[in-house]
Amino acid sequence: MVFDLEFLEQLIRQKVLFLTEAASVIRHGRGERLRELIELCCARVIRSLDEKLADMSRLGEDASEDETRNFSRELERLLTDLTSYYNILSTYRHDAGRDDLPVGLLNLIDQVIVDLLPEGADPLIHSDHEENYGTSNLRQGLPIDMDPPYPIAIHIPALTPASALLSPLLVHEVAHSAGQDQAMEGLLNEWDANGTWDQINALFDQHAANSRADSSGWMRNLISWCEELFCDGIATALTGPSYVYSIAHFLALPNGRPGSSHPPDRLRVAFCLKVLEQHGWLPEMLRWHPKILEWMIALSADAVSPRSSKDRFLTAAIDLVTSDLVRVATSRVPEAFRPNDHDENLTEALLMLAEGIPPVSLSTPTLSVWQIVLCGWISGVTSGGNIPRAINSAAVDVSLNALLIKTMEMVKIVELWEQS
Amino acid sequence: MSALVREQVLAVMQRPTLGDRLIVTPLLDREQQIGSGSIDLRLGTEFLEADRQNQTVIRPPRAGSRIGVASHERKYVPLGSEFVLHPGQFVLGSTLEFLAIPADLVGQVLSRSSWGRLGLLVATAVVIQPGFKGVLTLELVNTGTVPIQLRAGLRIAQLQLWQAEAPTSRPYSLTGQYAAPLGPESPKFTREQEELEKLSVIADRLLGAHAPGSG
Repeated sequence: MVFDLEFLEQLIRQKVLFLTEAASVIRHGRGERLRELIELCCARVIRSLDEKLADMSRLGEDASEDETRNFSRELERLLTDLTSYYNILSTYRHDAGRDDLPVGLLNLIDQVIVDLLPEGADPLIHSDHEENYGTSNLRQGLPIDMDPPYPIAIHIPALTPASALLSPLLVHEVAHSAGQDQAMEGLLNEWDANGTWDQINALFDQHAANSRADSSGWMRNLISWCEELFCDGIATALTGPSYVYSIAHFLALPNGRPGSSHPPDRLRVAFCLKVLEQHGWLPEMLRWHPKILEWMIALSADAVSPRSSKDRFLTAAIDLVTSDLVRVATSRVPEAFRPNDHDENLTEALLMLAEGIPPVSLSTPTLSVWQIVLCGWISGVTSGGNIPRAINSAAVDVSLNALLIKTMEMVKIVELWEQS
Repeated sequence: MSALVREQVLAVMQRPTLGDRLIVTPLLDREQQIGSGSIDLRLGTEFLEADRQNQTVIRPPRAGSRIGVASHERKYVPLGSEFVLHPGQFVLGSTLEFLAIPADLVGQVLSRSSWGRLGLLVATAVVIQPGFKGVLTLELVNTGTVPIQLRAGLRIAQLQLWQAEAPTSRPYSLTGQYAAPLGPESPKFTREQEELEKLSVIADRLLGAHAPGSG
């Protein structure tokens, strides 16, 4: 086999040219950081190619077949890199500058970024076959230097793209990208120092005594549950009771949500109620929807009756660390949403929503995004009869969700108008 | 009926009961927008463009058929951003403002004359029924010979209000087929469906009477 380095070089340069041209169609505006990301990736490939070719030419005709083979492999790796960059571009390029999404939805996503990502982000709003919210930092894992804001893919459910009421679930997903790793690492170190790990290990010994338990597997699960609850805590602190309503709508699914990496929804409801209690929301919730709160509290009590020894261990361990998780998660949200932020506007906004009018022209200052979402939940659940099923009917109420998204757009317009 | 002047418009906006109140929201510049006899309305952020590429003809739907009305593509343009309307182009837009018209008022939406002089027609369905709630769909046509650069948020139309002698007992929001629209709406012919069926039957009879071998 003759290694044709010249051919590989031409192939790489040709593909870089194609990739750069394909990225160049992304215009100035939302999502343009994707084009810059691809350009940086291509520049890095060309730089590596030139360096490798220079190394090769230094060896000249003295290069052995092994050395030539190694160079060829390195150049092939660059081709593989180019393919992976193209995968990123082809997946997300149509999400740059999308004009088929309501402006209010863009405002909502911008607000989530402002609240959770201090370095900012350039969001690419993406829908595919997944019916879930999700995020991915497209720069992560790439061998390039790029200054923030990074292009971030915000995955929204394809069939319910503009749901205002379920948007707190997006906050949870973005929270995973918002310093969760450092916060969890800090917490784990704290548990090392204060003996919490010893207590967790004792719980493991107690629950695993009669089974062939995989200690590292159970501990991995525990960390994963802690991460999920940590993000639940952030989402609850930021969006108030709206988050627990949006989690509660999953309880209607007959088989629950799959995956042992996530705590059961009932446990999550229990956890969120603790955050809400700390922030003073429970009396308010009792006033709006007493039956719903009663139902949630009953669910929370039921959450501590797991079936398997592993689930018993996980539940007991979570119980042990809940207050730490609440403390660390809420500390990540310096401006938490609390009831006294809301009272002034609530009555008037609810009256307007009930009449199908966007609550924008209020005598008091404009509503925040999370106040709008909460008003939507209160209005939707109240008009649904203040019963648990009303949570589901509100979540899928197209008119209500559209009205809330429109309100977000109008409120933002008023805010920008007043600032300019 | 009599036209409302500025002071009356402001008074209707201050009525104590929400259901009786005239609502125009967001009213970004109350002082500028409420004129002596009308309220200026701004261009909204949503547009419906007909898909021209593969359309042969637009016809109202035949009885029992949903096909016939041009399909539209919805586009969103943030406030302040451009939307270029080419000569001869027709799009549906909407007002930025959400309106709630009390049961005792009737409205009329008209082009602002400055835009009319550039060849822009803003609205053809000018009457707003008592009790209407929602944003107004605007029919935008560039009748000039050069493209017009519009921007979402520009004051583009004006609303005139007329006091009825008595409030209607059938406010539009309870009966209207465009109840509380939040963006421009495609045409709907649900009301005409019955008449279309009747006309089809008549046409069949007339054609049948003259068809070879009939009667």
